[in-house]
Amino acid sequence: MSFYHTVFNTVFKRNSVFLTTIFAGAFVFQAVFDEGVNKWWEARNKGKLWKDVKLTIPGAGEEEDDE
Amino acid sequence: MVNYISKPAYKAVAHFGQITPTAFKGYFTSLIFWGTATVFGLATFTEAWPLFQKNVYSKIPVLGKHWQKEVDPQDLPI
Repeated sequence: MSFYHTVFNTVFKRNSVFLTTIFAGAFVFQAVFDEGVNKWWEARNKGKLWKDVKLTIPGAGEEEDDE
Repeated sequence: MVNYISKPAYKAVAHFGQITPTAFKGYFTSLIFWGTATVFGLATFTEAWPLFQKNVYSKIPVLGKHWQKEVDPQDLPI
């Protein structure tokens, strides 16, 4: 009861605070979620990504001449 | 000699349009809250905008690194 009371009083009571919570939550969540998924993806595909592969290609970074 | 008041002495309160200091004081808290909501609303919808990413969001203390693009110079087109 007390917990719901606190949540109601801090978040839902004022419409402006409710809206701020939604927008701030959306803004922070998208950044955190994006970072998290990227980290997971890069960990899962370690060794297969361009940043890992390009180190194993001989001559990468040198000038390429296609004649 | 009789000293009497013939009419009320009206005095204009300082105002900007119809907003007086007293009225503004009443609205001030609400304006602050709605201003914060507006800032976060704009932030949410301009988050993917490179201009804002570069000038504003990449400078946020901890979260900012999400918008800092670091590309190996080797991988950039000439």
